[in-house]
Amino acid sequence: MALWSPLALGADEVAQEGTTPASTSGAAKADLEVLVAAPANSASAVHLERDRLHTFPGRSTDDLLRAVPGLHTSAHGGRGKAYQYFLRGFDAVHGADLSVRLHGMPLNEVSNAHGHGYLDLAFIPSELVYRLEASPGVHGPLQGDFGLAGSADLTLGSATPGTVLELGAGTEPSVLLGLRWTPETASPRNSGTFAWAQIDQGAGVGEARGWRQARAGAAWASRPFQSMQGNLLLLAYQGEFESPGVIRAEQLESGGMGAYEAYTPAGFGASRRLVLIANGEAQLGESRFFALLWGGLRDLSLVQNFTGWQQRPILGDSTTQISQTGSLGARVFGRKTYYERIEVQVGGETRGDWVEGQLAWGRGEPSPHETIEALRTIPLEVAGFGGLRIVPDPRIAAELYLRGGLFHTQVQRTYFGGQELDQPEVVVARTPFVLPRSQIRWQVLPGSTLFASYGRGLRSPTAFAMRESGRAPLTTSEGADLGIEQHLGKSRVHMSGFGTWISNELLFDHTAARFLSAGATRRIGADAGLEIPIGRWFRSQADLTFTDGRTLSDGALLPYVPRYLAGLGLYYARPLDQWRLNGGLRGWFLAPRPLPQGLWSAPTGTLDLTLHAEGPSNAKGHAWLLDLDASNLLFRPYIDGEFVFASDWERGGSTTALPTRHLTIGNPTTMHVVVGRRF
Amino acid sequence: MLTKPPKRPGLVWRATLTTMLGACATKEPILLDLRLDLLPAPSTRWTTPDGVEVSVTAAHVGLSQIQLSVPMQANATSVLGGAQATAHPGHDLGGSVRGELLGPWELDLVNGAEGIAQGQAWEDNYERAALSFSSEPASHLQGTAMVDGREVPFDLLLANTTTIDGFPFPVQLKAGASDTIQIQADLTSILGSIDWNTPDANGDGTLTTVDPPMTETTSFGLTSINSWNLSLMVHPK
Repeated sequence: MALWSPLALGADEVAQEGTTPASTSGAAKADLEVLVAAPANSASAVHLERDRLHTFPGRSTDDLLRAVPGLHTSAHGGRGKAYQYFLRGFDAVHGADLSVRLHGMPLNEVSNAHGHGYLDLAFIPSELVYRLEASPGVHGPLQGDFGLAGSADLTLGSATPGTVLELGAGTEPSVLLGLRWTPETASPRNSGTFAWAQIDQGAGVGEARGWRQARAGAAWASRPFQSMQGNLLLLAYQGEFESPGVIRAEQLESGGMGAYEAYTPAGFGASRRLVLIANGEAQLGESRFFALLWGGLRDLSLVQNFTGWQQRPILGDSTTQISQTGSLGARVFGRKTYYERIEVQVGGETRGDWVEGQLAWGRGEPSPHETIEALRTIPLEVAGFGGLRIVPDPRIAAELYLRGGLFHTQVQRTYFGGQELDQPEVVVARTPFVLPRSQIRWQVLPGSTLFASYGRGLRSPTAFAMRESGRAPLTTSEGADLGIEQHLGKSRVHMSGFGTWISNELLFDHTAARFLSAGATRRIGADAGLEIPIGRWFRSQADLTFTDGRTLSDGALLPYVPRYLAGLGLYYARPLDQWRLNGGLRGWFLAPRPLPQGLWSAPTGTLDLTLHAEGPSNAKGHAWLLDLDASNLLFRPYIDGEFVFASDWERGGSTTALPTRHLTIGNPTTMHVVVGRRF
Repeated sequence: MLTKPPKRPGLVWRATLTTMLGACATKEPILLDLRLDLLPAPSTRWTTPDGVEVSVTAAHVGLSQIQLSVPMQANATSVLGGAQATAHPGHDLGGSVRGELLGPWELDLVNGAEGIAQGQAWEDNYERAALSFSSEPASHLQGTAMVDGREVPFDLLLANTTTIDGFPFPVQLKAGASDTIQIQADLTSILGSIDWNTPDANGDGTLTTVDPPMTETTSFGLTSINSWNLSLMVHPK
């Protein structure tokens, strides 16, 4: 749980940001129960607490990330596989350029067989996400690997005491059974202790969209002393899912296939995860110390076929990817304030993984002769960071940080290119990095704050790309952000201009098994947002993001990059007699974006709704709860993702190599109702 | 279940979006229909520099496909994003092949034929083509050679699956025309590598691919880039 000192910037400002009000008294500074927001590091930054998150439509934790201006997600039509993310001109694929942490633990998976930085949030129950802090761009000393486009931090919590038994059903059809316990001592300021278990199963609409998920976990927060707090979080998850893959666009348009049909054979997968996170913090005089220790076990297997019989006309192109990972990491840092105007921060972080990765032809347990590549890798990251935060005037804060470290990766490869190697190939790569970051925050007028920042981002190389020992190339970015945030009463307007330059876009050609230097790229753009209360109970919110991504050599548009992404939401929260009602209606619109081959995607978007009601407690303290989620209220299929490549679903004969448009279809129109009873 | 397919952006959509959002042009290349015509070989009877008179009576060649490619892109857009996803396509450009005619077909090189295949290609500036031979149908060349006054019949059957890549094809395909790919074989080149004094090893009185090195020399000629001519005939609509 992130607890921050606002330093000299004042609690009024924090309260204006819609977060829990804070006290600025010296006593309150030492009181760890006072939750205050970190000073925003960007006008586009998002800090949402549970009351806001609860009104944001969506049935997964990934859906909550849509609250970040300019962040687009694509689910590829199923439930259980990691989403694809787009942010600020980056096609972050399955998480390669978007760093997400849970209670400080990095969730991106290093050298996952399906994609480097694989970011699978399916194990996190969205209804327990208590806080979302997200920043597009590169900011601060804590943002590490995979943070080229931005970062997000998630905190789980439950603030309402009682035991809740939930039973839900959806129109797919689907069923849900959940049990949640929160102690009597829970409150918005003490939400760190809870336990839950949940089973969720659905057939999905159409073909190959079924899922089965079980989640369980427990969290414990303790404050042994007034100035010390510790948290423990244990999460367990098991999921099985089908994945419909893609549909050739011309078949959909000609009526040859329905939107929710799938080619045979379709994909499927299984995912297991166990996570243990322990963190703590302590205040000693003017110093504050943070410590984090985490570990995890992970097992992911995916079977998929995106190209039919295009590459293997006889046997088919189905592939199996398997990743088995054990991870351990730690982070410690401290902050000390000098003369009430200078804060010094020093810390370090390390992460080690043990990854068994395998790519193979076929479906299911691969036989040795079908293995394409198999490796065991031990990537280790060690980083140190430090810096200053100077507040020369209560209205100005300047920050300067440096993060540096080393990636040490050992790879033992036993299969490559479909061949078993006579001797395991051992590669040891060590790659240092230095990441300077700075930012200025200036409250130019009451309620009006200017932000300016520069930061270098980093993406480590995947072990699947390492064939030679020595120094493995890194992808680093230089990013700048200039924005303004204006509060007008209870309304808020923000606007940012941003740019990211990558001098040498390093890519890995899997066919040739070598790095390609693809030249320099730049992404520039702007986002703007508006938040206006409507009456006492409603709040409207809108944002628009424009991004222009191009190669510097010839000015070509970067494919897949969303150019215009807009979101519009109307949220509602009010007590009505003894009922508490809240909800939200939100739509997003993605304008045509460039695709490969000079093609452009179709405009797309949808509208989702969520409603929650909590009834009055009876004499025993029991109360009824009702949640309703409706997806895709446009009542027509929408295109979730578009890709251009060659596929051939006509078995036999000559296979086509002609790239064409392929579509993934987004959420169907469905409704889910969950009835709960709080005891 | 809803089965109504999503619609592509129409004119109204595009105009609205362009007006609203500005500079968001969505002009796209069009997928064009292609036709394949086979022109008769320019000569079926000729005399080699060694004085051998060659006469081809039948020449059938099996082709499996013709691919048309644009120049390879060397910048970031060619592979961007694919770096981090090992598992599936769709994060890159999908290759430089932008047009193709899919077979297999049996080409009668002597008589030629019109409209033997239909294919598709995106509007673009093309650089090269690739011809792939098929084993079913196989290639079959028949005729005679007069060697020192002696008639040597030949009957060459080849199941060759080679691809001639990098075939120069600098053409521009654009909408508004009916495009026909014309292919023509040069039999003098296809059979130009054969040593007509090759012994009839199996003694059946005919030079066949059983007689070494006839397979190698015939294959070399058949798959030589100089043995084929590929051109574009544009008929304005």
